[in-house]
Amino acid sequence: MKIVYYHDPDLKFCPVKQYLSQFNTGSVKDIALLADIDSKIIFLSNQDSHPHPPISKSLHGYAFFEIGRRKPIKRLIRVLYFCNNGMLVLLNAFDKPDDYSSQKIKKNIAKIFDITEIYRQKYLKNKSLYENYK
Amino acid sequence: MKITNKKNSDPIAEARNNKHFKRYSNEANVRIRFANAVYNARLERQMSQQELAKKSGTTQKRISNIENAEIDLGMGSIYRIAQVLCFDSKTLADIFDCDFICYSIVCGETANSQIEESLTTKLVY
Repeated sequence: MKIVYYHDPDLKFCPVKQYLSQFNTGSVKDIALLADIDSKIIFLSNQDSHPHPPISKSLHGYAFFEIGRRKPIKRLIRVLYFCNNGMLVLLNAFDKPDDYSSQKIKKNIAKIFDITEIYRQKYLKNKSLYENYK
Repeated sequence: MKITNKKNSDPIAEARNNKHFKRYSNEANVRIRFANAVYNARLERQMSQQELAKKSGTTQKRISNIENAEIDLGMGSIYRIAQVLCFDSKTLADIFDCDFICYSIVCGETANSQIEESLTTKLVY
């Protein structure tokens, strides 16, 4: 599958690129983190269009999947993607605490998922809304 | 002052230019292949993460991290997990991207006893 970043026409940027840019520091730790995320994305692009546990998991009630990655300081990075017509579209990314039970955090995550679903719908309406993954 | 447009930069593409990227990428690929092999073998044997952790002398959280391809393991941990899940030489060779790993080195006594058993059977009959 071809890997692409979803590009939002209203935001005028790619949400995944925007999120990952915080790791664009050149430090060895961040290079390792980006290499890890990149390897997982490439691995998934060589599989079929279904989620491929344990590397990616489906999300109950949503038509996109998540790739996980642990951040050094008790945070979990999640990259959300879906597959369509031979394209693996990277929709959104965020991080959350390692261990949480508060309703506030759960609500925030649900909000991010809802925004991601909007991105997915926008992409399905206009399939030129992407930038190539290099 | 250097001004960069973070919104348009591609962090992964830029990281690829770093001299360490390829090494980290190769290591991540090994972790991903090991994670897949552990996850599939565990499901095949209908084992929970807790059971695998107990049999391989580690914790459920560590097994979870291994299956998420998030930690580098020592030889001891790889050996114990490979033994519990009875990885064959092909699985290990695929994980480590090697041509061949001798089965008897990895599964020690189990493999040797199986070979001896089959030889005895052949000799008897």
